[in-house]
Amino acid sequence: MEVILNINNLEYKYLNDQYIFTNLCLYIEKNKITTISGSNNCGKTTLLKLLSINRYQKKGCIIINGKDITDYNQKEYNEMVQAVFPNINNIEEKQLMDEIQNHTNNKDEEKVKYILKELELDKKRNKEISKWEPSEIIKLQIAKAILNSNSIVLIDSIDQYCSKKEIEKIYLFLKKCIEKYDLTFIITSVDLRESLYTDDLYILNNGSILLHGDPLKVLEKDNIINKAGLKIPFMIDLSVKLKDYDLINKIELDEGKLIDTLWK
Amino acid sequence: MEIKENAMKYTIKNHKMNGIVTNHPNDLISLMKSFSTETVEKTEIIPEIMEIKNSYKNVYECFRYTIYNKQLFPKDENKKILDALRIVGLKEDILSLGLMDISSSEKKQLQIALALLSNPDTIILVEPFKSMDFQNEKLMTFLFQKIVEKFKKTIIIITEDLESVLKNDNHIIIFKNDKFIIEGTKEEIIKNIELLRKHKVILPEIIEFIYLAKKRKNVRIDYSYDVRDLIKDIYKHV
Repeated sequence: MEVILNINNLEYKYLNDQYIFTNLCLYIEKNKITTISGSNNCGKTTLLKLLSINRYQKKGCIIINGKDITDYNQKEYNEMVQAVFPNINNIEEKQLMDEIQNHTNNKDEEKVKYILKELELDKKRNKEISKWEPSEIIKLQIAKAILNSNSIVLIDSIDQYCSKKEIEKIYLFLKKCIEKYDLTFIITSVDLRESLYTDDLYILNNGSILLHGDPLKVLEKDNIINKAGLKIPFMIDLSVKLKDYDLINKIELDEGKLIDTLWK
Repeated sequence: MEIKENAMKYTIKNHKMNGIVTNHPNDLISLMKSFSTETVEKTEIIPEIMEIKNSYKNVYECFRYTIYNKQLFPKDENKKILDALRIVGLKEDILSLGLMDISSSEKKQLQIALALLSNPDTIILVEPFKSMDFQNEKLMTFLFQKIVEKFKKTIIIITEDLESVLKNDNHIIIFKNDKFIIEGTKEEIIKNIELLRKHKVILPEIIEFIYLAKKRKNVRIDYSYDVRDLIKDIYKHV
């Protein structure tokens, strides 16, 4: 296991002096997709914002690739870490497409083609962005982040604009990018179903880590997760409860198989 | 009110919560826009009503801009703003906060408060429950019920997720690929599960599971929306 990012004793408060993190510690494994989940207002987006810029005033330290993030200059940091904070209202669409076009004009023609094709944006390329679906604008923002990052891509809650089917496709694409471009992804979501596509899951609550580990193992802790205000994906919720009643002996994600096990 | 559009006919129940389920929400929003201009009723569409721009200095400025932009000219502007905040359950001190400093659920409450400023008859919300935790989803549903019952508004929720509107006492209308499929209460919708499956409407996972158990193993379990109820039924029938 290679750790790419380490957060040690992070302390951060909002402008109104309310503390969001008091002593947060976590690590992120290289070349993995990590989900950071938690109820609304638990600090998921704030955490990504603190990671997205290396100039935030905070206590504690954030280490990336063995170096405190404040020791990187802005250019180095931007090449290393890119963030997607979905916002279809403020997006400067023209600028975004121009940036991607610049990659095409330069050395990354093949990379651009591949990413746009995988995200099903290639046929949209010459169409006016004002006619794009919100999910396509979000995918364009993800494309830009992947093109510009050489190490870590942060993605904040895409489920607001993308359907379940689109989300599944995006995760399959991100998995391909890990190998192809040596990337690490950190993704926030309130929807724990998304964690099933990922390698590692953190659940935040009251500014600290409530649970951490392999998503399937973490999701078995149904009581703790429910208390944190989160919904457990249906098949896991059902399996865990059936296990408690000794009706099955392992978590089953396939509904057909579960039905066959219950009613032989 | 009855809506007719290209040989489709369906009903929006006045002073009730209506849930429209579609796999093409954007097409439906365009349809709603045309319907809102054609009728005499005042309609506010969220998030179309306003783009919450981070360039506003604070929440108060956001209210002032909306009042000015919609030419509302209230007698007492501050009272109007505080009333709207109170209805959606936001505290007065949010007014001084920047839009970057409020949470996503507060932003949704704020959008509804801004919609209420013009005292609309109908409020159309697009995917109001997305990115929301369990607790906030309950709070938001409670808020919609209050707006419907106490303030006699009509609420229309447009969503891709049938599950999010099946849980509550909504009038439900289902479209697939822009074609009207069915409308009714949740009980009437579930009675027609074969029709929904025929049109490949995505069912809530719990409903799909019960349907498959009934179909494949002829198990007699009732359709429920809560895993705990389902477990009791399974325990009885295995």
